[in-house]
Parts: sequence; C-alpha cells; structure tokens
Amino acid sequence: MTTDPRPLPQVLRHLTTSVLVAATAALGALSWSSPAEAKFVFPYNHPDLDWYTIETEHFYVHYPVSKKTEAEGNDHYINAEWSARKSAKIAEEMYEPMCAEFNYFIKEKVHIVILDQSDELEGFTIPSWDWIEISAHPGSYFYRMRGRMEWFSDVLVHEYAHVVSLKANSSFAEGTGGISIGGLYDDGIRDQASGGEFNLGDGSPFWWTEGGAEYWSDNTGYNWWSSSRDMNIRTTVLEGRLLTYDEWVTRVDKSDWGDGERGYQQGYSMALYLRERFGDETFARFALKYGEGWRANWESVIPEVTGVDARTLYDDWVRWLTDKYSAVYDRVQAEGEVEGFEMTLKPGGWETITPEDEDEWLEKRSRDREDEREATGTWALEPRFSGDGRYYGYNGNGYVRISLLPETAFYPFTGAYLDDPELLQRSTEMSVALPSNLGGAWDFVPGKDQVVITGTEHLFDSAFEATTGLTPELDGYNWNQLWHVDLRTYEHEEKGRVYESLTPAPKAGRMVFDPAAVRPIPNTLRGSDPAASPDGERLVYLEYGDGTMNVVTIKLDGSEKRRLTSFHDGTWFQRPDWSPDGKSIIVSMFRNYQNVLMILDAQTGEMTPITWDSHESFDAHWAADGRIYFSSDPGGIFNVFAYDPATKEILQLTNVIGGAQQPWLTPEGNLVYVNFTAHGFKIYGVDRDQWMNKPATHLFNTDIDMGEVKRSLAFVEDFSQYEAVTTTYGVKDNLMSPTVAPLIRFSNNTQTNFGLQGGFQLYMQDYVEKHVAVFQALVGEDTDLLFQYYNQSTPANIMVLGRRGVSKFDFGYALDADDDPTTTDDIETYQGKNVQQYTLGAAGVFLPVNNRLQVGVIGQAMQFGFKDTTATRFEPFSMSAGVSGFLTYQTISDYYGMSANPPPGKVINLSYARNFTDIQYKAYYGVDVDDGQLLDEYSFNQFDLSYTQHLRVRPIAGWSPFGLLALAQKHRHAFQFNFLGGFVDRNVQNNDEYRAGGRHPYWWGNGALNPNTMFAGYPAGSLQGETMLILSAAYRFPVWTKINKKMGPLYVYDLHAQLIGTAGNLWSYRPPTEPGTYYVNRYDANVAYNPDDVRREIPFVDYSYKNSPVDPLTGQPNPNYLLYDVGAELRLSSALWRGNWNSFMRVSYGFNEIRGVNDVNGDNVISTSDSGLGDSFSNETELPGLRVYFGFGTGW
Amino acid sequence: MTPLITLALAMSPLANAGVLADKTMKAPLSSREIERALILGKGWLELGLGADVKRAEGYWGPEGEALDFDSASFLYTRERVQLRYGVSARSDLVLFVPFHYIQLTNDVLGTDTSGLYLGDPRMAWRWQPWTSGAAGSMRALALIAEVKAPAGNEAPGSSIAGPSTFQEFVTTTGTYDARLGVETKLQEGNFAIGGQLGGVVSASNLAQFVVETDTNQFLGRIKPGSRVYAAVDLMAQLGPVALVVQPGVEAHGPTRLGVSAAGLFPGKDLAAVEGSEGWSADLDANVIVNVSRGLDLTLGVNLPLRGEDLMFFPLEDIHPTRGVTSSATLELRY
Repeated sequence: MTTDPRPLPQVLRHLTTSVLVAATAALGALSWSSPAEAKFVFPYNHPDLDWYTIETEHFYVHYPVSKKTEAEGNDHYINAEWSARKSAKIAEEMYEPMCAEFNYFIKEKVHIVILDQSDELEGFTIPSWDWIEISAHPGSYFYRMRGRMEWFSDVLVHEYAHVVSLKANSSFAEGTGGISIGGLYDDGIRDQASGGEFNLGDGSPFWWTEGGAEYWSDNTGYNWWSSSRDMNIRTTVLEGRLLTYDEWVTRVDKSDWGDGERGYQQGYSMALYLRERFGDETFARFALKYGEGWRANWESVIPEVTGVDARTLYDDWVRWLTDKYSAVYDRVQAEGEVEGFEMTLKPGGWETITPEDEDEWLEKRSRDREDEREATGTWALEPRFSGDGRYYGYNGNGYVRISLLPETAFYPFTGAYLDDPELLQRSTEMSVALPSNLGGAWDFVPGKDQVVITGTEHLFDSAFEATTGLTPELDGYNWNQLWHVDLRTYEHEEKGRVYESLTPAPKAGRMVFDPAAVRPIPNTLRGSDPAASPDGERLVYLEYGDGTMNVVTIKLDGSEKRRLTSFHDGTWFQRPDWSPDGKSIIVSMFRNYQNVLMILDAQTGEMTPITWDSHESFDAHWAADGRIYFSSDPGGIFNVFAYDPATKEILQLTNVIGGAQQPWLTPEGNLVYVNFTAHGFKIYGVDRDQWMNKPATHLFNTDIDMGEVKRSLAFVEDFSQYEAVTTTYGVKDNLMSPTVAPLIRFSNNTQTNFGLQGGFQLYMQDYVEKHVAVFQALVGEDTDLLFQYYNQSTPANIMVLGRRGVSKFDFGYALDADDDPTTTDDIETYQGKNVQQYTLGAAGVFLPVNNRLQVGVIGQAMQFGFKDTTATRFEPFSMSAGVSGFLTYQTISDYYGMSANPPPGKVINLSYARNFTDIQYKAYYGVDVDDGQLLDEYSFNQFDLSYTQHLRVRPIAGWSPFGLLALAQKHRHAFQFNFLGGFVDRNVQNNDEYRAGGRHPYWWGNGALNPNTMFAGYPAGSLQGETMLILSAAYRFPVWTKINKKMGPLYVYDLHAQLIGTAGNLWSYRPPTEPGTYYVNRYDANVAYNPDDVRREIPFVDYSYKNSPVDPLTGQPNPNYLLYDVGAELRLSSALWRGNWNSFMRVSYGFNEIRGVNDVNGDNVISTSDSGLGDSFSNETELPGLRVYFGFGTGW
Repeated sequence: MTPLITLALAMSPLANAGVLADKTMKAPLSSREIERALILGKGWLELGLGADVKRAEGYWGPEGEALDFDSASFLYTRERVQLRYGVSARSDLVLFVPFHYIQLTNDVLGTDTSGLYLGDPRMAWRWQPWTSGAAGSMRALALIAEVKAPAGNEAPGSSIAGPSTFQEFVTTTGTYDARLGVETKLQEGNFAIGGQLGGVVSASNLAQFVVETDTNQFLGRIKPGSRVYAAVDLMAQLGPVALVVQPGVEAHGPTRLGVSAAGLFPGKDLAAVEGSEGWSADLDANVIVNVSRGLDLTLGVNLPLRGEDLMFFPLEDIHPTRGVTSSATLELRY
C-alpha cells in the first residue's frame, strides 16, 4: 500500500508569457498538460454513490452506499457501513497507544475514507492532509504475504502509525510538502539549455517509514511477527537477497520480485532488532530527533539516538539475522529437509551437480542469477492436475496456465527431466493461458474438459475489444466474477503445418476466445476461489461484501445459489474444497484473530472445526484419498500436513526452510504445492514415497470444545453507538486544510532576460474528491496567476480554468538601413523592452470510457495584448476562442510513460478544434499580415494526431543475427516511434500556427513537442507552419542498471541511453511573387491583392519557405523540403529525499540551416533586414549545429 | 473565502476539525507581541493586509534640506498584501505584494493624473538560527535574505520629451534587488529592544522609464546604488497593546545609467549619476493591538527626518518625496 505522502500535483506547466515577442508573439496552440482528472484513487467518479460520515472523538470515517438498492435492480450495490463502523472502533482504540509511542497526541481529526468500489487492495495515507484511504477488500493475495486476515486492524493501525510518525518526523510545516525550487538557463548563443529542479522536503527512508508502521503496530498490540513475515526474511537472508544498506532507503527501484515487501519486513525486522538492543522507543526517537530540524540526510539521526552509525548498525543487524536463520536451517536439516523439487521441465542453472557447474553458476552476476531463478515463475500458485491426469495447470502471474501434461513429465516424480521432444512440443501447443486474478483460485470441472476460474467482469474481450481496448466501462465497476471455460481445441497453421491448440489462433495479434467457450457464471459477482463439486454440477466459492466473505454454492449455470454462511462481521474465508462424496466442504476461516479449518455441511452450512488453535492453517484441499491436505505453521514455518477425518490424525508431509503452501494431491497420489522462496512462489512436487509422514496431531488442538466454538461463532460486535454519530457526508464540512507549497523559480528566455519568481501553489479538495481546486500565484518580473477547479461528482470530470499572466522582456533590434544584411556598416542595434499580458478562460468536460480511452470537449477564450514604452495601457493585440474535442487512447500509463525506459505500449491523441481569431491591434488598424495575406477576423479548423509506440527489441520470428536481438531483448532494449501530425485548414496569423523546436523539460510554456526530443536539434519554437508532419524514432538501452548507490540523500539506480532521430517539417502558405498580384506594405512584406493568390504549400512537394534560409547575396532560398536531426541522450534515474529525481543530458544535431521569426539565431538581437522574399521574417538563420541540454532533477 | 469569514475563524478560540483545523505540529505562538520571536512559528500562515498613505508636501534638496512643492500635490499610497508562512521550526517565508494608488495634481499646470498600479513584490526567507525561549526573557537573532522583483509599472506613457510628459506613474525601479540583513530582539518582561542591520544590492536592468538620450536609445539601463541600513527597535507592551518606536538611517551609493553592454554583464558600462548618492533618516512609530494570537491590528506613522535629492521623481523606491506616512495593518494568522 502506498503510504508516503504524495507530492502536490505537478505544478501546472501550461502557459507562460515569456516567449511572447512583440506583435509576432508565439502563443502557440493553447493546451494543458494536466490530466483530465485530479484524483488520487478513484479511477472513475461514482455519482451512483451516497457517502456517509461517522464522527468519533479523533476521526471521521466516510463510507459509500449505493443510491439504488439491489431490489431496484442494482447489480453493483455496495454498502460499506460495517467496514466503516469497524474502522471507527479500531481507530479510536488505537489512537491513545499509537500517539503515546511518540508522545505526540494529534489534535486534528483524521479522515478515513473506506473504498468498496472494487475488489482490489487500494489506498494510501497522506499524513499532512490527515487523510487515510483504504479499501474494505484487501485483494486476493494480501494474506499470502502477511499471513493474517484481521484486515481492518492490520491496515488501519499501520496507516495511522504513518500519520503519527510522519507528523512527528516532519521538520517542515505540514501542507508545504517542502519548497519547490527550480531554474532554467536557456542560452541561444551557446545553443544550450540547462535546468534543475528539486523539492526541498523532509526525508524518511523507506525501511523506517514502512518497517516503522509495522513495528509501532506491533508495539501497540495490533501486529506481530507472523510466520509469513518470518518466511519472507528467512528466505531473503538464506538466499542472499537482502536489500543493501543503500537499496532500502527508498521505495523507488523495487521492481525486482519481492523487493517492495522486503523493504517493509526488513524495516520491521530492524525495528525488532533495535528494540532488543536499545529499547522499545528507539524507532520513535528517530522521528522526534529529525523533527527538531531539517537535515539533508535523515540517517544522521541514527548515531545521535543510538550512538552507533547507521551503516554499522545495518551490518550488525545482518549478522544478527544471519545467525538466527542459519540456526533455523540447521534445525530443519537435522530433522530431515523434505522439500521435493521444482516442477520444471528442464533443470535450472542453479541445480548444479558438478563443481564445474557450480563454479559456472557462481561466476554469473548476481542479477543474472536472480533473473534466471525468477524465470521459472514468481507468482506461481494454485497447482492442479485434472482428475483424469491429462492436464496440469497453475495460476502464474494472474493467468491460469494449462497444458496437456501428465505428472510423469515432471522431475519430482520421475527423477528425470523430460526428454521427449514430441511430448514437449505437444504440451507446448496444447496449452493456454486464461486471464484470471493474481493468486485467484480455480479448478478443473471433474469429468469435463472445463475449468472454472476467478476473473473479473470484463475478463474476456471480443475480437474488437481485444484489439482496440475499447471496452466501455462507464460505471467504473469491474468486480470479481466467476467464469466457466471450455478447454476446447483451436486449429492453428504455421508454415504449412496444421496443429491443435487450447489457445485460439491470434487475430490481429490478439488472442480471442470463442464467446461460447468462455462464459461468465451468472449471479457470481464478487465471487472468488471456485471449486467444482465431484459430480461437476455445482461450485462452492466465496462471495465478498462489505469487508466480509461468505461461503456460497451454485450450479455451473448460475442457478440454485445457496449461501452456506451469512456473516456480516469481517469474517474471511479462503480456498474452499469439496469432500470426495460432495456432501461436505473444507474451508479456512479467519475470524476473531483465529485462523482455523472448518468443515461445512454442503446443504445446511453447519460448521465443524477440525483445528481450533493459534496456528495459521489454510489452503485446505480435500483429496480423493479422503484426507484433507493443508498448510500450517506450528514451529513457525509453513509446511504441508495431512488430516485424516476418520482418525483425526495429522501427519506432517514436508519440512521446508521456505514455506510450503497450497498443497494438492495428484491423481497418482503425489504432492504438488507452492514453495515460497526469495525468488518467488514456486510450484514444487514431492513424490509420495519421500513424504516426511511425521505424526503431528499433538501440534494442533483437535480436541475441540464445541461450546466455545458456538460462542465464538455467535459473537457479534456491538456497533450501535455509531448510529447517532452517522450523518450524510457534507463537502463543506470535509474540506482538507489548504496545502500551500512555496515555489521559487528562476528562468530566462534570452541571455539578458533573467527572471526570478516566487509564489505558491495552494491545493484544496474534499476527502472523497468530489471537488478539487488549485490556485497558483507566481510573482516576479513576470506575474502568473492560475485557478483551476475540477468537479468530479458526475460521470464526466468537469474542469474550469482561469489564468492571467504579465511578462516583461528585453530584446535588441538590429535596424538595417539598406535592408542588405551583407553591408553591416549601416546596421545599428537598439535595445527594447516590452510588457505583455494574456487572460485565458477555459472549461472542459472529460469522460473516461475505460481505463485506456478518454474523450473530452474543451472550450476556451483568450485575450492577448501588450504595452510598450509609449503605451499607457495594455493594447489588445488579438482575441481568440475555440472549441475542441479530443480522444486519448493509451495502453501505457502516464507514470510508466515518464520512466527512463517505458514498457511496451502506445499513446494516441486525436483532436479537432474549431477556432476563431480576431486581430485587434489598433496600430495595425486591426489587421495583421501573415504569408502575404491580410488577416482580421477569421475562423479555422484544426486537426491533430499524435502517436507514440513503445516496443521492446526482440528476435523477429526467431531471427536474431549473431544473437544480438536476443541479447537486446534480455537487456530490455527498446524502440520508440513517434508521429506528430497537424493540419490547420487556412492561412492563419503566426500565433495560430504550429511551432516546433527543442525544448527543455523544465520549460513551463507552450510550444513543446511531446516527446521533446523531436527536433531538439533546432531552436525552440523556431519552426512553424500550418501543416506539421514529424516522425521520430529512438533506440533506448540500459547502460548501467542496478547502480543502487546512495550518496547523501541521493539514491542513484539506473542509467539509460538513447539514440534519437527526427525527420519532418512544417509547411505554410506562400506570399504572392507575381508582379501585379501584391503590394509591399510598410514592413516590406508582400501583401496579396487577392487572398487566393496566397498558396498553400504541399508537404514534400514544396519546400517550407518559412523554415528555409535565404542566400543573402542572391536573395534565393536554400530550400528545406525536410528537416533532420539526430541526437543522443543519457537518462539517470535517481531519487532525492522522498521523490524521484531524474536527470538527463541530451546532445542533438540539426542538419539543416533554418530561418524563422524574430531572434532565430538566439543572440537576443532581432534582425530587421528584409529577407528578400517579401515576407515579414527576419533574415536571421540558425546554422546546422549541436544543441546541448542538461536537466538535473527535471525529468527528461 | 471572504475576509469576513476568515476573520471570524481566526478569532474563534478552537477549531479542531474542518478546513482550518488547529494542527498539532504548530509551534507555540504568544498572543502578546513582545513575547514573539522574529519569525512566525512552524505551521503558522499569516495574511497581512495594510495601507500606507502619504500626502507629500515637498521634496528634499541636494543637501538633504526640506523643500516644498510650489503648487503640486502628490498623494502616494501603498496597499499591501503580505503572506508569511512558518515553513519550519526555524524559518519562515514571506511574500509581499504591494499596489499603489498615486495621484498628482498641480493647479497651476492643470495636472490631475492618478492611477492604481502593481508595485514590486518581495520574497524573503528568514532564518532564526538562535532563540532562547525563557518565559519573559526571550532572545532571538534572525537572518533575512530578500529579493525584490521588478513587477511594477515602468512605462511612463511617453518618452518623446522626457519624463516630464509622463502619463503613467512608475512603481518600480525596473531592477531586481537583493537584501541581506540581520535582526535581533531582546525581551525583558514588558520591554524589548531590537536592531536591524543590512544591505541591499541592485542588479542592473533595462527599464522602460529611463530615456537614454546620449546614444538615441528610447530605453536605458539602470542600476540603483547599493544601500546599507540600520535601525533600532524599542518596544513596550501594555496589556494587549504594544508600542514600537524605530529610528533608522540608510545610506546609498550613486545610481548608474547607460546602455547595455554585450555579454553576460550588460551593466558594466553604466555611468554614475552625479549627486545621486546620499543618506536619509526617519522615525517609525507603531501601536500594535494584539486582539488574539490570530489577529493583530497595527497603526503607525513614519516621519522622514532627512532625505535626498528628488532626482528620479516620482520614483519613490529610490528617492521618495517628503511627507508623513500613516499606515494601518491587519494581520490574520492561522
């Protein structure tokens, strides 16, 4: 769960005035880069929900209830009242002890928002906003990592520990998020742009933040070092995967399997170690020490509190852990380790036999060894063989993977790896990966080639949906849903060979199942963990509602639904299974801090426990041999046990050092199970002859007092006291305290025009995010005011924006008396200064169609004017307005899209705008000349398309010359292709034209291309026209990964490089040149008598006259049909304090000499020499050359 | 939120919920001015609204002598908005945005020009590295770094015949100023003494109001002279009312004018304006009414004792006119 305080929404970087230059200002196309919604969690608005609030002494708990009831036909009815009441009770109980941990008793009430709109684990805490948001559903795999299911007490105490600890730790005032300081130095003479940005804020290392929250939950009695946590750290230590001292400071770069969870548990373990060595309060004292005053390196508090420096302490702790777990392993080995072997078809490199093999393995880099070990599966769960033994399947990373493979193909049961190419090929072909949930249980349907799986409502798409991603998801619900799938064969043809497969032949690169073969089971919304009855007619599954699970049976066609339990008190069940005779059901139950195995009568639901103790017993499987196989942790390590219902005797079957879970008995009577390792959940097999078979009945309490059981099952917590303090949620009563982030910004747009601005960004919202408002003020020589409001209480997001900016800038004029740039004696340089302003208003409506597609409409109006030395007031130059519609389709999130090497995916933006412009400048008599045409009032249509595709490099149909493509694939080399096209359907004033050229990412104004590597070899905004066609490509590769070095507060982890190239141009209109068709105005521009004589340039056929230089001697253009550039970039990924701090260096070379408007060569002096072409441009040119960009913490 | 609501909330004794919840992290803040340190405590946000009004009677001569206007009447006001934020336990940030309503009348010449303008905003960081919080005996030392940005109006309206034909008032020097200073406060019971010492350096900048005639430029570059200042604060607190008297002096170097030079140091060719340096002295007196720790009202007066030649009239930031300035300030704290 994300718990770090989030930074403020990115300071909005849309518009700035500093680029505006006199009457030829370049406003560019107005746009806003912020997302169309400003929400933290809700991917969709939910106007179908009412919200209620429980107010207690120290908390507000908000929860949703559907407006439309089930009786009114609402399939997605939710009512999280019980979850909210339970949260309110826990919250008040924990308040006192948690605050006492720090002697920091919080006065402000904390808002807890309960989410129940999805079946996923969601949530975060922002301490400075007094805001905790948690889902009532913990998701499908949480318990497997933590091993307990007191979800609300677990998660709430953890989150509130964040609130108290990080408030106590805060040296900055809450709500500032620190101070944002940045600057950009853009030097047109030296052709370089250097920027830097950092948020001066509090630090708190990952291990302390998350480990501390676990530990303080422990100290206050709500948490304990469970067997699952021990399993995690035990395997981590024994397999050499501890996060290093440098690695564990930050939550970034935790993409290797298990590293995120390791960070939590390593921190918790460290806290326990410090408790043992220095006392209970040590971890809390770090916060209080840091809170006394900001320091660049948080770790400096450690020696002040403990007297031992942080690195020494880390090393001590590692020794302590190593000794502890080495002893455990010695014990297991002394007892006789029974682990079996991983269920693979070929040996892994680590399974060495000879010393030479072992040497070869150890010579590999550790990360390569880790990758190899993880390649056999990291989330390999729920292994099964079909009853007839033909099929083998498991849930691998959220896909139910089924193959036609008998158990005799596996090493654990034969002692030999599969050496039958025909069987291997057949099994590969006769396989399928069915989409499912990560960790979701599934089952074969006995007697049929069918399976039932846990999925979601939109699990299987139609061909159209699969290809386009255009599955409408307007209600925002995609709950769990059971599916009934036929394992049917599909015919494939490859190179003339026809074969059968369980997988459909791809259509347009996508796997599309026959809709008749994949059927959602009616009436099973929010269902999970299905198991088919022995007769193949019914299912038993678990149904979720309001923080609680219940056991339900239903026929495969969705009829005859029967609820066997009816809890509404947070009871949680897990992995039910039928008895061989179909009369009973075994299930694991979590309730009242107990985790026991229960047998339910399949008709009546009557419950009979088979264990009643403090062990964590779960993953029960009632096998055909009549015994119940399950996992439990007596002795602190999860192992597989077998319970005989007839004798009530229990045997221990495995004795592992990792963790043995999810046992399943094969048709041949062998054991498959999931073994937890530091490289993932792996599927292992143990031949029945190798089972430990150690009597273990005495380890469990099977002599059960049924009276106690009945009393326990009948217990219901009394929450009636909350009725009187529950009210309808009111926005004005639940606005968060305003957050004020100070901003300091330095920038220049010429070598002499420097600016320093100071101000703040104020952010406010209500706690269920119906209303969000941002106000930003920056004052300096330039003034910038912004207000933005989002209303998120309807299906679409509504945005209103207002902005005003005033900018001053200086410049030089080179007045050329004879308009001949080759004679310089008559050129005099003058300096000038100007003030410009704009006022902008916009409103938009944005509708998410699904998680990939968004459509919207935006209306906007802007007035632009300026004031020079002789003006007493701002003179309006132009007024513009427009309405546009857009469509954004992206298969890669914005977050990953900004990473150094984004994963495969695409982003498509399509927009149409109808715009209107009125030139109002009195000195020009209300008109302006552009491309030889007098322009006054005009309307135009504008069409834009941008397309970005990220691809991983890989062998092409198996072709990998010299193994290079395979090597590139292994090292995650990537291609990125970008296309940018735009079309304005008439000649327009240059403020309405497209602009292109290199921009630094810290640039806050308009006119930056996305990605900004496009035409980075040319000056910013120097290229323009009414038609834009640009194509660029990048080849990206890692240079140095897993650097993982901490230098003070800076943590550096990856270095990537990319080679970039761009080709394209911007085409415009041509002024008339035929004598008699034009006149020359007072600015030496040719003006057409007849606007029809102004000709549109045809891309590729015509060169772009605006972007082509003119020979000063002949006056003839040097045509640029296409412009090209190439470049190279280094991207350094790092983190500073709590946030990403990514830097880059880019070198780009533009091959073409160009010209354009105003100060093209970047010397801050605008040449007024006549271009000789009869247009209004200067005669300046920018020669081919290098442009260099540096960014420190600015991203790329 | 309207000022009225803000005021009501600021005066309410406790608010532990809602948008203006009292936060645990906030530093203690005395309701009495005399007991307060030099920076706003951690977590406090202060909004200051104030106005200064000066009806200038005249100006200062070349030797600092007081001279009266012949027939002109000059009203110079400053409307102030100040945000101060206690960003950490030892420092606060200040954003000061002034506006000016100015009126010049001359019955003889028939002049009646007025206008409301944005002035030059200032941003400051104040760091209080040392404080002693003993009850009734507070000691504090603070350093201040401040930048003034030239956002004010600098287009006089016409440069054809020089500044005398202006139609607009200039409310900025057109330059960035950087100030570094130190402040101290020693309190004993109901009395306190403090001091301020610092200097201001201006960067040169092209300014629209500067008419550079020598080289026929319609704009020129200006670099106001560097300044040093010193002041003493004397304070006494009677119940909720604090009285503060502050005599101060300031000396400044010559202003430089000219055209820009090429390169990274465009002000290197500027020439000093003869007689534009000098010194001034004045006296501030303020009455602060501590309504609550969330609300103060300050009434004050500034008496100019000595000034400098009105060389850049009406550029008050460099050479102010002569007149008594009355001021009122409302400070709201949350």
